[in-house]
Amino acid sequence: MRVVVVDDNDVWRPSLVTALRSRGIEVVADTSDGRELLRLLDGPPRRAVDVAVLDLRLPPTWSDEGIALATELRRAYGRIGVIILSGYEHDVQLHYATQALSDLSGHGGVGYLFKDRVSRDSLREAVQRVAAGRVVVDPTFSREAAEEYRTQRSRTQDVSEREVEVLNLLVQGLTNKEIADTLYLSIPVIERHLTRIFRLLLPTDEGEQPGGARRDNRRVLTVLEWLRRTGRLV
Amino acid sequence: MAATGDPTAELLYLRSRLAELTAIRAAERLALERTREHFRRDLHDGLQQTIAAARMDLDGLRDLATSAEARAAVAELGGKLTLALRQVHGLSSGADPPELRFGLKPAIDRTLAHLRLDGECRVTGSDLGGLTLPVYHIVRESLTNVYKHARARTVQVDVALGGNAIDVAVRDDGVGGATEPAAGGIRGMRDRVGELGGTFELCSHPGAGTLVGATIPLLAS
Repeated sequence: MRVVVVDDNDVWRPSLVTALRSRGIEVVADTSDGRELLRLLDGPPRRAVDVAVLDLRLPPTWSDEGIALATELRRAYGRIGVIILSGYEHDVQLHYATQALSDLSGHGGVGYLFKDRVSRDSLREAVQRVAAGRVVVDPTFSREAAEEYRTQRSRTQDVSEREVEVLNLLVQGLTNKEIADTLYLSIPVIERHLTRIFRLLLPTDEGEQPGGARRDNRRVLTVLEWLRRTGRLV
Repeated sequence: MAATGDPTAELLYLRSRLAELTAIRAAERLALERTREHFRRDLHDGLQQTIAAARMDLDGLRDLATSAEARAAVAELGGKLTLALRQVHGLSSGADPPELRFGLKPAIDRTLAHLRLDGECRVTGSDLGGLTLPVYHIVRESLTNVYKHARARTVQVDVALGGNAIDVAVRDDGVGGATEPAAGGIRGMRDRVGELGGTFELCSHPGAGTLVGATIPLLAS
Protein backbone atom coordinates (compact mmCIF):
# COMPACT_ATOMS: atom_id res chain seq x y z
CA MET A 1 0.00 0.00 0.00
CA ARG A 2 1.52 3.31 -1.11
CA VAL A 3 0.36 6.57 0.35
CA VAL A 4 1.18 10.29 0.10
CA VAL A 5 0.52 12.79 2.87
CA VAL A 6 -0.04 16.54 2.64
CA ASP A 7 -0.49 18.51 5.85
CA ASP A 8 0.91 21.87 6.85
CA ASN A 9 0.88 21.19 10.57
CA ASP A 10 4.45 20.22 11.45
CA VAL A 11 3.50 18.65 14.76
CA TRP A 12 0.73 16.47 13.38
CA ARG A 13 2.28 15.37 10.08
CA PRO A 14 5.21 13.37 11.52
CA SER A 15 2.85 11.63 13.94
CA LEU A 16 0.58 10.72 11.05
CA VAL A 17 3.45 9.41 8.92
CA THR A 18 4.80 7.33 11.81
CA ALA A 19 1.32 5.94 12.45
CA LEU A 20 0.88 4.87 8.82
CA ARG A 21 4.33 3.29 8.65
CA SER A 22 3.73 1.42 11.92
CA ARG A 23 0.82 -0.32 10.18
CA GLY A 24 2.88 -1.43 7.19
CA ILE A 25 1.76 1.37 4.89
CA GLU A 26 4.48 2.87 2.73
CA VAL A 27 4.52 6.67 2.77
CA VAL A 28 6.18 7.63 -0.51
CA ALA A 29 5.95 11.39 0.01
CA ASP A 30 4.96 13.73 2.79
CA THR A 31 4.88 17.46 2.43
CA SER A 32 3.22 20.57 3.78
CA ASP A 33 2.31 21.88 0.38
CA GLY A 34 0.10 20.61 -2.42
CA ARG A 35 2.23 22.18 -5.20
CA GLU A 36 5.27 20.41 -3.86
CA LEU A 37 3.43 17.11 -3.84
CA LEU A 38 2.46 17.53 -7.49
CA ARG A 39 6.10 18.33 -8.31
CA LEU A 40 7.34 15.31 -6.38
CA LEU A 41 4.89 12.98 -8.07
CA ASP A 42 5.60 14.40 -11.47
CA GLY A 43 9.36 14.10 -11.34
CA PRO A 44 11.26 10.85 -11.82
CA PRO A 45 10.94 8.24 -10.58
CA ARG A 46 7.22 8.22 -11.28
CA ARG A 47 5.61 6.61 -8.31
CA ALA A 48 2.31 4.82 -8.23
CA VAL A 49 0.12 5.95 -5.35
CA ASP A 50 -2.89 4.13 -3.93
CA VAL A 51 -4.19 6.72 -1.52
CA ALA A 52 -3.57 10.41 -0.78
CA VAL A 53 -4.14 11.49 2.82
CA LEU A 54 -4.81 15.22 2.70
CA ASP A 55 -5.46 17.89 5.29
CA LEU A 56 -8.73 19.70 4.62
CA ARG A 57 -7.29 23.12 5.34
CA LEU A 58 -4.12 23.98 3.50
CA PRO A 59 -2.43 27.22 2.49
CA PRO A 60 -3.10 29.77 1.08
CA THR A 61 -6.60 30.30 2.53
CA TRP A 62 -6.90 27.31 4.88
CA SER A 63 -10.47 26.61 3.84
CA ASP A 64 -10.93 23.58 1.59
CA GLU A 65 -7.71 23.37 -0.44
CA GLY A 66 -7.41 19.67 0.45
CA ILE A 67 -10.51 18.88 -1.60
CA ALA A 68 -9.27 21.00 -4.51
CA LEU A 69 -5.90 19.23 -4.38
CA ALA A 70 -7.64 15.87 -4.42
CA THR A 71 -9.57 16.88 -7.52
CA GLU A 72 -6.30 17.85 -9.17
CA LEU A 73 -4.67 14.55 -8.20
CA ARG A 74 -7.59 12.67 -9.69
CA ARG A 75 -7.23 14.61 -12.92
CA ALA A 76 -3.53 13.79 -13.13
CA TYR A 77 -3.47 10.26 -11.73
CA GLY A 78 -6.90 8.76 -12.30
CA ARG A 79 -8.65 6.70 -9.66
CA ILE A 80 -6.42 7.49 -6.71
CA GLY A 81 -8.09 7.03 -3.31
CA VAL A 82 -8.45 10.16 -1.18
CA ILE A 83 -8.81 10.57 2.56
CA ILE A 84 -9.54 14.07 3.76
CA LEU A 85 -8.44 14.60 7.36
CA SER A 86 -9.95 17.48 9.22
CA GLY A 87 -9.80 18.90 12.71
CA TYR A 88 -13.08 18.34 14.46
CA GLU A 89 -15.08 21.52 13.97
CA HIS A 90 -18.63 21.27 15.08
CA ASP A 91 -21.13 22.37 12.41
CA VAL A 92 -18.76 23.02 9.51
CA GLN A 93 -17.64 19.41 9.39
CA LEU A 94 -20.76 18.17 7.65
CA HIS A 95 -20.54 20.91 5.10
CA TYR A 96 -17.03 19.91 4.08
CA ALA A 97 -17.69 16.19 4.34
CA THR A 98 -20.58 16.56 1.93
CA GLN A 99 -18.45 18.61 -0.39
CA ALA A 100 -15.68 16.00 -0.31
CA LEU A 101 -18.06 13.11 -0.93
CA SER A 102 -19.94 14.94 -3.66
CA ASP A 103 -16.82 16.13 -5.46
CA LEU A 104 -14.69 13.03 -5.10
CA SER A 105 -16.85 9.95 -5.08
CA GLY A 106 -17.55 8.03 -8.26
CA HIS A 107 -13.95 8.14 -9.48
CA GLY A 108 -12.32 6.13 -6.73
CA GLY A 109 -12.55 5.68 -2.98
CA VAL A 110 -12.98 8.61 -0.67
CA GLY A 111 -12.84 9.06 3.09
CA TYR A 112 -13.58 11.89 5.48
CA LEU A 113 -12.09 11.50 8.94
CA PHE A 114 -11.16 13.60 11.96
CA LYS A 115 -7.61 13.98 13.16
CA ASP A 116 -8.58 13.76 16.78
CA ARG A 117 -10.68 10.62 16.38
CA VAL A 118 -8.57 8.33 14.23
CA SER A 119 -6.34 5.70 15.77
CA ARG A 120 -3.51 3.87 14.05
CA ASP A 121 -5.76 0.88 13.46
CA SER A 122 -8.79 2.80 12.24
CA LEU A 123 -6.51 4.75 9.93
CA ARG A 124 -5.13 1.55 8.43
CA GLU A 125 -8.63 0.21 7.88
CA ALA A 126 -9.71 3.46 6.27
CA VAL A 127 -6.69 3.46 3.92
CA GLN A 128 -7.44 -0.10 2.88
CA ARG A 129 -11.14 0.54 2.30
CA VAL A 130 -10.52 3.74 0.35
CA ALA A 131 -7.85 2.01 -1.74
CA ALA A 132 -10.50 -0.60 -2.54
CA GLY A 133 -12.72 2.18 -3.91
CA ARG A 134 -15.08 2.46 -0.96
CA VAL A 135 -16.48 5.45 0.89
CA VAL A 136 -15.50 5.87 4.54
CA VAL A 137 -16.94 8.54 6.80
CA ASP A 138 -16.13 9.05 10.45
CA PRO A 139 -18.67 7.11 12.51
CA THR A 140 -19.36 10.27 14.53
CA PHE A 141 -21.39 11.64 11.62
CA SER A 142 -23.51 8.62 11.52
CA ARG A 143 -24.02 8.54 15.27
CA GLU A 144 -25.00 12.19 15.30
CA ALA A 145 -27.33 11.58 12.40
CA ALA A 146 -28.90 8.66 14.23
CA GLU A 147 -29.41 10.74 17.38
CA GLU A 148 -31.00 13.49 15.36
CA TYR A 149 -33.13 10.92 13.71
CA ARG A 150 -34.41 9.62 17.01
CA THR A 151 -35.35 13.08 18.22
CA GLN A 152 -37.09 13.89 14.96
CA ARG A 153 -38.61 10.54 14.35
CA SER A 154 -41.98 11.87 13.33
CA ARG A 155 -40.42 13.90 10.54
CA THR A 156 -38.39 11.15 8.97
CA GLN A 157 -39.82 8.34 6.94
CA ASP A 158 -39.87 5.29 9.04
CA VAL A 159 -36.41 3.79 9.19
CA SER A 160 -36.24 1.03 11.79
CA GLU A 161 -33.66 0.82 14.59
CA ARG A 162 -32.05 -2.08 12.73
CA GLU A 163 -31.84 -0.03 9.57
CA VAL A 164 -30.16 2.76 11.55
CA GLU A 165 -27.52 0.21 12.61
CA VAL A 166 -27.02 -0.88 9.03
CA LEU A 167 -26.72 2.75 7.93
CA ASN A 168 -24.11 3.42 10.62
CA LEU A 169 -21.95 0.64 9.25
CA LEU A 170 -22.57 1.58 5.63
CA VAL A 171 -21.28 5.08 6.43
CA GLN A 172 -18.05 3.55 7.74
CA GLY A 173 -17.38 1.89 4.40
CA LEU A 174 -18.19 -1.69 5.32
CA THR A 175 -19.20 -4.16 2.63
CA ASN A 176 -22.45 -6.10 2.85
CA LYS A 177 -20.55 -9.09 4.15
CA GLU A 178 -18.77 -7.04 6.82
CA ILE A 179 -22.07 -5.48 7.89
CA ALA A 180 -23.60 -8.95 8.09
CA ASP A 181 -20.70 -10.23 10.22
CA THR A 182 -20.81 -7.24 12.56
CA LEU A 183 -24.53 -7.54 13.21
CA TYR A 184 -24.55 -11.36 13.23
CA LEU A 185 -27.03 -11.43 10.37
CA SER A 186 -26.95 -13.18 7.02
CA ILE A 187 -25.97 -11.37 3.82
CA PRO A 188 -29.45 -11.76 2.24
CA VAL A 189 -30.98 -10.10 5.32
CA ILE A 190 -28.54 -7.18 5.02
CA GLU A 191 -29.34 -6.91 1.32
CA ARG A 192 -33.02 -6.74 2.13
CA HIS A 193 -32.39 -3.95 4.66
CA LEU A 194 -30.28 -2.07 2.13
CA THR A 195 -32.89 -2.40 -0.59
CA ARG A 196 -35.44 -0.87 1.75
CA ILE A 197 -32.98 1.85 2.86
CA PHE A 198 -32.19 2.76 -0.76
CA ARG A 199 -35.89 2.85 -1.58
CA LEU A 200 -36.62 5.10 1.41
CA LEU A 201 -33.71 7.46 0.96
CA LEU A 202 -33.06 7.73 -2.75
CA PRO A 203 -35.08 9.05 -5.65
CA THR A 204 -36.88 6.21 -7.41
CA ASP A 205 -34.59 5.82 -10.41
CA GLU A 206 -31.45 5.58 -8.24
CA GLY A 207 -33.02 3.51 -5.49
CA GLU A 208 -34.41 0.80 -7.68
CA GLN A 209 -31.50 0.34 -9.99
CA PRO A 210 -30.13 -3.07 -9.07
CA GLY A 211 -26.38 -3.56 -8.76
CA GLY A 212 -24.13 -2.62 -11.66
CA ALA A 213 -22.11 0.49 -12.29
CA ARG A 214 -24.12 2.74 -10.02
CA ARG A 215 -23.78 0.54 -7.01
CA ASP A 216 -21.04 2.57 -5.27
CA ASN A 217 -22.70 5.77 -6.24
CA ARG A 218 -25.89 4.57 -4.63
CA ARG A 219 -24.14 3.97 -1.33
CA VAL A 220 -22.61 7.46 -1.36
CA LEU A 221 -25.91 9.07 -2.23
CA THR A 222 -27.53 7.18 0.59
CA VAL A 223 -24.94 8.40 3.10
CA LEU A 224 -25.39 11.99 1.94
CA GLU A 225 -29.16 11.75 1.93
CA TRP A 226 -29.19 10.21 5.39
CA LEU A 227 -27.08 13.02 6.83
CA ARG A 228 -29.14 15.65 5.03
CA ARG A 229 -32.50 14.23 5.89
CA THR A 230 -31.80 13.85 9.57
CA GLY A 231 -31.31 17.59 9.75
CA ARG A 232 -27.55 17.75 10.04
CA LEU A 233 -27.15 19.44 6.71
CA VAL A 234 -28.82 22.25 4.90
CA MET B 1 -13.66 72.56 24.70
CA ALA B 2 -17.32 73.36 24.12
CA ALA B 3 -18.29 75.03 27.41
CA THR B 4 -19.20 78.29 25.74
CA GLY B 5 -22.55 78.79 27.44
CA ASP B 6 -24.23 78.71 24.02
CA PRO B 7 -26.88 75.97 24.19
CA THR B 8 -26.81 75.27 20.46
CA ALA B 9 -23.06 74.86 20.42
CA GLU B 10 -23.29 72.72 23.54
CA LEU B 11 -25.87 70.48 21.87
CA LEU B 12 -23.78 70.18 18.72
CA TYR B 13 -20.75 69.28 20.79
CA LEU B 14 -22.65 66.63 22.72
CA ARG B 15 -24.03 65.17 19.51
CA SER B 16 -20.63 64.87 17.90
CA ARG B 17 -19.19 63.46 21.11
CA LEU B 18 -21.97 60.86 21.21
CA ALA B 19 -21.34 59.90 17.60
CA GLU B 20 -17.65 59.56 18.37
CA LEU B 21 -18.26 57.30 21.37
CA THR B 22 -20.73 55.21 19.40
CA ALA B 23 -18.17 54.73 16.65
CA ILE B 24 -15.52 53.73 19.17
CA ARG B 25 -17.87 51.19 20.70
CA ALA B 26 -18.74 49.72 17.31
CA ALA B 27 -15.04 49.44 16.46
CA GLU B 28 -14.38 47.73 19.78
CA ARG B 29 -17.09 45.17 19.08
CA LEU B 30 -15.64 44.45 15.66
CA ALA B 31 -12.18 44.08 17.18
CA LEU B 32 -13.59 41.65 19.73
CA GLU B 33 -15.21 39.59 16.98
CA ARG B 34 -11.92 39.41 15.11
CA THR B 35 -10.12 38.35 18.28
CA ARG B 36 -12.63 35.54 18.76
CA GLU B 37 -12.06 34.36 15.22
CA HIS B 38 -8.27 34.28 15.82
CA PHE B 39 -8.82 32.42 19.04
CA ARG B 40 -10.90 29.79 17.29
CA ARG B 41 -8.30 29.35 14.58
CA ASP B 42 -5.51 29.01 17.12
CA LEU B 43 -7.46 26.32 18.92
CA HIS B 44 -8.16 24.34 15.75
CA ASP B 45 -4.89 24.70 13.95
CA GLY B 46 -2.67 24.65 16.99
CA LEU B 47 -3.70 23.10 20.26
CA GLN B 48 -6.25 20.63 18.91
CA GLN B 49 -3.85 19.15 16.37
CA THR B 50 -0.99 19.00 18.84
CA ILE B 51 -3.11 16.94 21.22
CA ALA B 52 -4.33 14.77 18.33
CA ALA B 53 -0.70 14.13 17.34
CA ALA B 54 0.14 13.17 20.92
CA ARG B 55 -2.78 10.73 20.92
CA MET B 56 -1.52 9.17 17.72
CA ASP B 57 1.97 8.82 19.19
CA LEU B 58 0.49 7.23 22.29
CA ASP B 59 -1.02 4.58 20.03
CA GLY B 60 2.56 3.64 19.17
CA LEU B 61 3.42 3.30 22.84
CA ARG B 62 0.38 1.05 23.26
CA ASP B 63 1.88 -1.29 20.65
CA LEU B 64 5.00 -1.58 22.79
CA ALA B 65 3.35 -1.84 26.20
CA THR B 66 3.70 -5.44 27.29
CA SER B 67 2.89 -5.34 30.99
CA ALA B 68 -0.61 -4.78 32.32
CA GLU B 69 0.70 -1.77 34.25
CA ALA B 70 2.14 -0.14 31.16
CA ARG B 71 -1.10 -0.73 29.27
CA ALA B 72 -3.10 0.78 32.13
CA ALA B 73 -0.83 3.84 32.16
CA VAL B 74 -1.24 4.25 28.40
CA ALA B 75 -5.03 3.94 28.70
CA GLU B 76 -5.03 6.52 31.51
CA LEU B 77 -3.01 8.97 29.46
CA GLY B 78 -5.19 8.34 26.40
CA GLY B 79 -8.27 9.13 28.44
CA LYS B 80 -6.79 12.42 29.57
CA LEU B 81 -5.86 13.44 26.04
CA THR B 82 -9.39 12.64 24.87
CA LEU B 83 -10.73 14.77 27.72
CA ALA B 84 -8.39 17.60 26.70
CA LEU B 85 -9.75 17.42 23.14
CA ARG B 86 -13.28 17.56 24.42
CA GLN B 87 -12.37 20.60 26.48
CA VAL B 88 -10.92 22.27 23.40
CA HIS B 89 -14.16 21.58 21.50
CA GLY B 90 -16.05 23.18 24.37
CA LEU B 91 -13.89 26.32 24.24
CA SER B 92 -14.25 26.72 20.51
CA SER B 93 -18.00 26.25 20.47
CA GLY B 94 -18.22 29.16 22.90
CA ALA B 95 -16.58 31.45 20.35
CA ASP B 96 -18.21 32.75 17.17
CA PRO B 97 -20.88 30.71 15.45
CA PRO B 98 -18.76 28.45 13.25
CA GLU B 99 -21.42 28.14 10.57
CA LEU B 100 -20.50 31.65 9.46
CA ARG B 101 -17.19 30.37 8.27
CA PHE B 102 -18.59 29.57 4.85
CA GLY B 103 -20.75 32.62 4.51
CA LEU B 104 -23.88 34.33 5.62
CA LYS B 105 -26.39 32.67 3.32
CA PRO B 106 -25.67 29.06 4.32
CA ALA B 107 -25.85 30.15 7.97
CA ILE B 108 -29.24 31.80 7.45
CA ASP B 109 -30.54 28.84 5.44
CA ARG B 110 -29.45 26.64 8.26
CA THR B 111 -31.30 28.75 10.81
CA LEU B 112 -34.43 28.57 8.65
CA ALA B 113 -34.11 24.81 8.49
CA HIS B 114 -33.48 24.46 12.22
CA LEU B 115 -36.54 26.52 13.03
CA ARG B 116 -38.56 24.61 10.43
CA LEU B 117 -39.57 27.85 8.76
CA ASP B 118 -40.77 27.90 5.21
CA GLY B 119 -38.60 30.72 4.04
CA GLU B 120 -36.39 32.11 1.39
CA CYS B 121 -33.12 33.94 1.81
CA ARG B 122 -31.52 36.24 -0.74
CA VAL B 123 -28.08 37.65 -0.13
CA THR B 124 -26.70 40.02 -2.73
CA GLY B 125 -23.18 41.39 -2.65
CA SER B 126 -20.18 39.39 -1.62
CA ASP B 127 -18.16 39.81 1.52
CA LEU B 128 -19.79 41.78 4.31
CA GLY B 129 -16.53 41.67 6.27
CA GLY B 130 -16.81 42.50 9.97
CA LEU B 131 -20.52 43.21 9.56
CA THR B 132 -21.31 39.59 8.76
CA LEU B 133 -21.74 38.67 12.40
CA PRO B 134 -23.99 41.59 13.42
CA VAL B 135 -26.14 41.03 10.33
CA TYR B 136 -26.38 37.35 11.15
CA HIS B 137 -27.42 38.18 14.74
CA ILE B 138 -30.20 40.46 13.49
CA VAL B 139 -31.52 37.86 11.08
CA ARG B 140 -31.32 35.08 13.61
CA GLU B 141 -33.06 37.12 16.30
CA SER B 142 -35.80 38.08 13.83
CA LEU B 143 -36.29 34.50 12.67
CA THR B 144 -36.46 33.32 16.27
CA ASN B 145 -39.24 35.86 16.83
CA VAL B 146 -41.05 34.63 13.72
CA TYR B 147 -40.78 31.10 15.02
CA LYS B 148 -41.98 32.00 18.52
CA HIS B 149 -44.70 34.54 17.85
CA ALA B 150 -45.67 35.14 14.25
CA ARG B 151 -47.51 31.95 13.23
CA ALA B 152 -46.36 32.80 9.72
CA ARG B 153 -46.69 30.64 6.63
CA THR B 154 -43.65 32.04 4.91
CA VAL B 155 -40.76 34.31 5.70
CA GLN B 156 -38.47 36.24 3.39
CA VAL B 157 -34.93 37.31 4.32
CA ASP B 158 -33.11 39.87 2.19
CA VAL B 159 -29.58 41.05 2.76
CA ALA B 160 -28.31 43.49 0.16
CA LEU B 161 -24.87 45.05 0.12
CA GLY B 162 -24.93 48.48 -1.50
CA GLY B 163 -22.21 51.04 -2.12
CA ASN B 164 -22.43 52.64 1.32
CA ALA B 165 -24.61 50.41 3.42
CA ILE B 166 -26.04 46.99 4.03
CA ASP B 167 -29.82 46.61 3.99
CA VAL B 168 -31.35 43.80 5.98
CA ALA B 169 -35.03 42.90 5.86
CA VAL B 170 -36.92 40.01 7.41
CA ARG B 171 -40.59 39.85 6.39
CA ASP B 172 -43.21 37.37 7.45
CA ASP B 173 -46.90 36.94 6.70
CA GLY B 174 -47.89 36.10 10.26
CA VAL B 175 -50.16 37.69 12.83
CA GLY B 176 -48.21 40.96 13.20
CA GLY B 177 -48.77 43.22 16.18
CA ALA B 178 -45.23 42.84 17.54
CA THR B 179 -44.29 45.34 20.24
CA GLU B 180 -40.95 46.51 21.50
CA PRO B 181 -40.55 46.07 25.25
CA ALA B 182 -37.66 48.00 26.79
CA ALA B 183 -35.48 44.98 27.54
CA GLY B 184 -36.57 42.64 24.75
CA GLY B 185 -34.81 41.17 21.77
CA ILE B 186 -36.16 43.76 19.37
CA ARG B 187 -34.86 46.60 21.53
CA GLY B 188 -31.53 44.76 21.65
CA MET B 189 -31.40 44.67 17.85
CA ARG B 190 -32.31 48.35 17.64
CA ASP B 191 -29.54 49.25 20.12
CA ARG B 192 -27.00 47.15 18.29
CA VAL B 193 -27.86 48.65 14.91
CA GLY B 194 -27.67 52.09 16.52
CA GLU B 195 -24.20 51.31 17.83
CA LEU B 196 -23.12 50.47 14.33
CA GLY B 197 -24.41 53.87 13.16
CA GLY B 198 -27.42 52.41 11.36
CA THR B 199 -31.18 52.72 11.42
CA PHE B 200 -33.65 50.12 12.58
CA GLU B 201 -37.29 49.74 11.73
CA LEU B 202 -40.06 47.52 13.03
CA CYS B 203 -43.32 47.47 11.11
CA SER B 204 -45.91 45.11 12.53
CA HIS B 205 -49.59 45.94 12.21
CA PRO B 206 -51.97 43.34 13.62
CA GLY B 207 -52.96 40.92 10.91
CA ALA B 208 -50.50 42.29 8.38
CA GLY B 209 -47.30 40.41 9.12
CA THR B 210 -44.06 41.84 10.45
CA LEU B 211 -41.12 43.56 8.83
CA VAL B 212 -37.82 43.99 10.63
CA GLY B 213 -35.54 46.26 8.64
CA ALA B 214 -32.07 47.58 9.32
CA THR B 215 -29.65 49.69 7.34
CA ILE B 216 -26.06 49.63 8.50
CA PRO B 217 -23.46 51.95 6.98
CA LEU B 218 -20.21 50.42 5.82
CA LEU B 219 -17.28 51.57 7.87
CA ALA B 220 -14.54 53.32 6.02
CA SER B 221 -11.69 51.12 7.16
